[in-house]
Order: sequence, then C-alpha cells, then structure tokens
Amino acid sequence: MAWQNRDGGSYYYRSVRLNGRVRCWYFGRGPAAEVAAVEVVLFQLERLVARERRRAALAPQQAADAALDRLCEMTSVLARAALLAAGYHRHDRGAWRRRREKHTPTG
Amino acid sequence: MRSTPQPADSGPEDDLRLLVEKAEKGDVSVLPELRRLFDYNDELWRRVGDMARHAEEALVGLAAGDNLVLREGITRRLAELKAELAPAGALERLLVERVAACWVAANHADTVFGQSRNLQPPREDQLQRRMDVANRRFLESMKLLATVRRLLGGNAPA
Repeated sequence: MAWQNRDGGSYYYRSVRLNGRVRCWYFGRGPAAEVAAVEVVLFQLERLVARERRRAALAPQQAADAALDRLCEMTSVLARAALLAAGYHRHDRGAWRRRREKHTPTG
Repeated sequence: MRSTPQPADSGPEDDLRLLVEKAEKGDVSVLPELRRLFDYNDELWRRVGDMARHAEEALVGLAAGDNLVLREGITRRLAELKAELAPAGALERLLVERVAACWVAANHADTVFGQSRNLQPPREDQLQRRMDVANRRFLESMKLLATVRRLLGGNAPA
C-alpha cells in the first residue's frame, strides 16, 4: 500500500501477512511513517543486492556449463557425421549399425 | 576473468549439423557432401578445437578459482588423462578433449555438492541436479569415444 494520498495529505500504510491474512498497518504521516517507509526501501535494496551477488557468483559456472554444452553438442555432430560417412546408421537413437548395401540382381 | 572469443553462431558447424540431420533421416544423397565437408574443412576442425580449449579453460578456472597450485594440479591431471586415452586422429582427439572437460565438470559438481552444508531445498536440488547432469555427460562422452573407436577404429578422420 505504501504512501496513500487522502484528504490532501500523504499517509503511510504497510500491508503485512499475519497468520495467512493480510493486515494493513497505519503509520500516519509523521517521522515514524518516514522511518517505516525508508525501512522497507532498505530491505528491498538489501534483497536486490543479495540476489545480484548470487547471480554474479553463478555467472562463471553458467559460462563454463554453456561452453561445455557447445563442445558436447558439436563433438556429437562430428562423431555422428563420421559414422554416417563410414556407412553406419541408427534407428531412433538406437545402436549404430552398418547400412545394408543394395545388391543388384545378377545373372 | 580472461575471456576467450566465442565462435560465431554460423559457420561450417551449421552446414555439417544440417547434413547430419538429413543423413539421419535417410537422405543418402548428402553423404558425398558430408564426407567432403568432414574431410577437407580445416576451419571446422579448428573451430571445434577452439570450443574445446575454451570449455577447458572455463572449467579449470571455475574449479581452481585463484588457487594457482590447484590450477596446475588439475591441468597436469588433464594432460595425463588425455595421454592415457591416447587419441588417434582429429576426431578422437576432440572426443578425448570432451571427456577431459566433462571429467573436470563432474568432479567440480561432486566437490561443490559434497562441501555444501545446511542448504535450503531449492539450492540443494540445483546442486544435486547439476551433479547428476555432469556425471551423465561424462559417461555419455566416454560412451561416444568407445563407440567411435569400436566402429571406426583406424578409419576415424585423422
């Protein structure tokens, strides 16, 4: 809810969940209201900084995993290409088998 | 952190990927072109080689952090592992690079999970999943190397 304009003045409210129900706390417009409002902003900032720290800590791991994914994908393509070029095939991701030669009838 | 240039998205990899997909659907007419691209395209092999180096650097950096002794230890163990797997030819060399990179990733994931204490469920699940994926990827890379060796033997591209 935060600051609400009522009857020409700004009043600070805070919504809190107590025992599964949302309650609205009234802080008025004095110094207590200002402090309560700043408290909320500081809490949100702290949460944002913590989230960014976690994200930054995970970035090298995500970059390494992505590089490994690219390598695995491309080496799989190369291996499949080599096997296909050598006359192998596989059905529905099963085992690789040598492709049967087409025999032309003789005689 | 040192950044390695990323290979561009388009290139001979995409051509090869397309040909492989067609061949796997039974289009044998693409096989000559596939062999040509595979046998004579140095750019393709160079680019995948760069991917292997980039992945290894990133994973060793992740596992060792700023610890230069650990970095040296991992690098030496990787060199031993690659020598033990004794690749023959360009394709096997890249598959061995992949095995080595997957080995670092699997060990790092195991270590991070093993050293974690008092984690909240979402983070614990993430680490467990990462460890499972890394181990599965390592086994798949070994299996692919074994398949190529068994079926192509000395006929693998050099």
